[in-house]
Amino acid sequence: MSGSTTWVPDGVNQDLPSSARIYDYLLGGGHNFAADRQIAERFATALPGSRDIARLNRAFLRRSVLYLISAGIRQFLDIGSGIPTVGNVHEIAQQADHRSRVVYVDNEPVAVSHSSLILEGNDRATAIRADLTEPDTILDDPRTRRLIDFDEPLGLLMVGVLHFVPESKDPDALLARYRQVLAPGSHLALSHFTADTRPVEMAAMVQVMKSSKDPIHPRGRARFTELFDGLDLVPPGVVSTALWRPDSEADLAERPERDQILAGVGRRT
Amino acid sequence: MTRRTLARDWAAAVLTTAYLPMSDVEVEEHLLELVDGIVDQLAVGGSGTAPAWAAGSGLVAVHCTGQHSLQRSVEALAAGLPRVPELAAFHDIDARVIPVLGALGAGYADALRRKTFQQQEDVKQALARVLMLSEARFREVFTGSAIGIAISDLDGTLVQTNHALAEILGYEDAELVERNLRDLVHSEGAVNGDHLWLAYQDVVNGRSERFRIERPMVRKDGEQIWVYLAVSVLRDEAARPTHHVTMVEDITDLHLMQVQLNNQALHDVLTGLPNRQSFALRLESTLGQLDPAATVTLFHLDIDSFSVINDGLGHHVGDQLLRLVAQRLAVVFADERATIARIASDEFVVLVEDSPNTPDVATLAATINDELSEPAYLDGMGLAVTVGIGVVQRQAGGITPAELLRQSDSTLRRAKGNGKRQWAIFDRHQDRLDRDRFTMAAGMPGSLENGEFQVEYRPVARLSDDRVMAVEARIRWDHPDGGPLGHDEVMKLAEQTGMVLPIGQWLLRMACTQAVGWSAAFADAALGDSALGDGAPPLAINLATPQANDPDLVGTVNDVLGSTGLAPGLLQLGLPVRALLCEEGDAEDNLQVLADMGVGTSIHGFGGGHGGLVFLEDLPVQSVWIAGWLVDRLAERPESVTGRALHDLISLVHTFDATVVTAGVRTAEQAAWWRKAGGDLACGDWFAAPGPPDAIVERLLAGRRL
Repeated sequence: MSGSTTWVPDGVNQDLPSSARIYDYLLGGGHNFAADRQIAERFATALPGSRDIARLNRAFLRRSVLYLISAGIRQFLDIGSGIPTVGNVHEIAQQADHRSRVVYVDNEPVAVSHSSLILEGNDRATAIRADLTEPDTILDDPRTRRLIDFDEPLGLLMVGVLHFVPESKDPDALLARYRQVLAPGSHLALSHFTADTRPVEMAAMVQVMKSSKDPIHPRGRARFTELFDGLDLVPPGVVSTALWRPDSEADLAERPERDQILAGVGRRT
Repeated sequence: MTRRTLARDWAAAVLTTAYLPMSDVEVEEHLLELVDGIVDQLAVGGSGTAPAWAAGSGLVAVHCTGQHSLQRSVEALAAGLPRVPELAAFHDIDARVIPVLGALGAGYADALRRKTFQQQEDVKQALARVLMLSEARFREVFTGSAIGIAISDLDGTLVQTNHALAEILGYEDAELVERNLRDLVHSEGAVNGDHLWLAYQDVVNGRSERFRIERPMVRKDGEQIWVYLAVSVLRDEAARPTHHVTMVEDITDLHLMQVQLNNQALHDVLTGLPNRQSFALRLESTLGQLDPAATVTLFHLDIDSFSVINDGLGHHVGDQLLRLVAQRLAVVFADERATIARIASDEFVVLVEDSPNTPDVATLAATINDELSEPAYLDGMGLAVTVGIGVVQRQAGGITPAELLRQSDSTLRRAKGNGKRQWAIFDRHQDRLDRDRFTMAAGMPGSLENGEFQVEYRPVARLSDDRVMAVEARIRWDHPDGGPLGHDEVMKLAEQTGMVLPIGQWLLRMACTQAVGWSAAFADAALGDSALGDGAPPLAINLATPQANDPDLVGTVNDVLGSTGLAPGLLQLGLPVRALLCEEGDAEDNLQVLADMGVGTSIHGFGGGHGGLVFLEDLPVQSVWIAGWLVDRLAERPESVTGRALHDLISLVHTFDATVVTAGVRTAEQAAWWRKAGGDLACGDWFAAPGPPDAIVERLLAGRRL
């Protein structure tokens, strides 16, 4: 082999910002590159309150996982898991019950590699590289099969990821495919950017994200609610992330950024 | 303000500054611990700031690291600490708090710095791992591939090659390093090699993204192999091309198979010669490459009576014979720049690019037949063949391959028309006539429908007294462009185009129908005139060979006689001696059955040979018609040997009680010669030109009164 470093592998392009690293930066993480930080700053300028939006979304993830734990779920498939920045699903779930199993899925190779590093020595959690839009790849992966028993209730998490899937990829059909493998008692947790509030700022943010490798497609409340087809929404139904079973008074203050991401959890009966 | 109240205020101040992965209560508890440490230290009046430093890093530990987390913390502690009961006693508490907050800030900054370094290290490791994995994957593909891969810098120096490439090219792995790619692919001579290298340049210049090409390469041991090359370019971070990647797939086996398939598609499997398609391509390229003024000669050969050999001796003999012809043609043309091809079952062509030493056409045509007629022993039988040859000799320019082949084919047919072992050279004038004739013949079916054909009659007179003894029906074609065509011409055309049976039947039916009419009219007119004898003379029709051999001839005649009501005795059908001599076909049987039916029978086309006489012995033949060409020939040299032979023929015919009929008598001299020689009947322009049916009665009346 030649020692040439021209062999930059597919999918690792430090110059093309990735949503996982932008999210990490907005959450105060340092797992990002200059190009990510640059676009994250533009993102934050276009959409004031972006750090809060990211924080509230991350907090929803935590509360929804804790809710699923309380509903008896001990296995989680986290699709679009991103950079393991802080408050990761396996930390939350295994703290609640150390037997909990978690499979992280992301399409960003560095994020997956990073997750794998963190999970070294943890045989009840793993990270695989795959894309949400290829359900069979994820569901048939031997690592998924090793940790997830599809006869048992599953916590399927797609937090802050479906807004990267355009209508042309038919999100309803994708969800229908995932729904097929959900045993009764399984739950699906979703959160999703909406332009129902602050459409002008959202349009500017969408424009900014077009120069990343993960453009964003916001959806309205009604369309978002359709994504739970075939499942029973658990109370309080579809609300903004801050208002989904809140446990902190501080988050309840009425601020425009509070409602920028919608969230909900559906149950398979 | 209790310590807990302070912790709660602190928590409220920072909760929304960052994502803290815990509940509000947990945050409060964590901060309370930090508060305890700070207050305890302050309460003992010490100057140590270690607990405050620890509190600063404690904030970082719970990820309380938002943009405003430190600021809010300092504000909350600055406001709250002096109000904690244990500390309120210190009059200078505000001053004591200041270094505590400084230490908190320093501890926070230090922890954050360490955390950032840690995160950067994590990202680096994650990235390195991804690169390592993909490098490992690449290495696996590179080394394990069955496809040869060469990475070369832009001037062609090989930087990296895999084992498969070394194997394909027959080198040791190490031998390839530092060699130049151009030397390896540069195997077809400078021009093509440079051409390939230009394609490599195009990939570098961005004129193409990648290219693929099939080409020969030479192994180290000199053996030629065929490879499929796929070439693309590698770029650096700034997208500048740095290396070529050449994938080399050994497709030698595939290539050989392809060559073989091509060969099969373009070559005659039996003889290994090019087939018609292939010959057409070669003809085209040869004509295109030659100086337009250079002459070429195309020999177009057809084996005489090949079907006799094939059908009679079996296909395996036929096949051997075809191979033999191929071999012998190769011998004949060994000294010429010649392409030999087999373009149809028993048709061969030879294209000769004429040189000053090329023998003349007549010599070559004779050599071909000499060579082929040398017997060869196939299956224990000595077989020799002869061929008909059509020859076109012309300049290479100004003719299409198709036209050249058409000319040779048409010339061949003209040669074959003259019999076996004949050759003919293309004649522009003759070709023009042939083409016109062929065009006319192609229009025959339509012309028959359109009523362009007529039946004409000519009297057959007795030489001794010019009395009309029979009436011969002949066909005439009033072609709108070609003018009127006589009987012989029409039948010749019809034979060439397979129209002879329908035309012949039409003539038979029409003539019989009209004969019923004119013989009745003649009978009426002759009534009571004893000089006119007893009734009308018979209708004579000379059949063509295919008609004579037609298994349905008897049925057709029967049908015509039945539907027209013509008495069999009033019909006299002539069968060509050619048809009878050929042992295939039903001519002999037909003649016998027709005679049994009461139809008069004759043999026409009697030539120089006496072979036909045998039929007079065996068959009920009433008359023998001498061939028209013999009559013409004799007119030129009345005192020749032919003349003496004809005298003998006539007396021989007479011994069988048959009459001799001479057709085509044009002059008084001819009529006199035949009369003197003992001929019985004659017809031709000297007696009367053929005329329409309504004129025949008058003629008959006149003729009988002679």
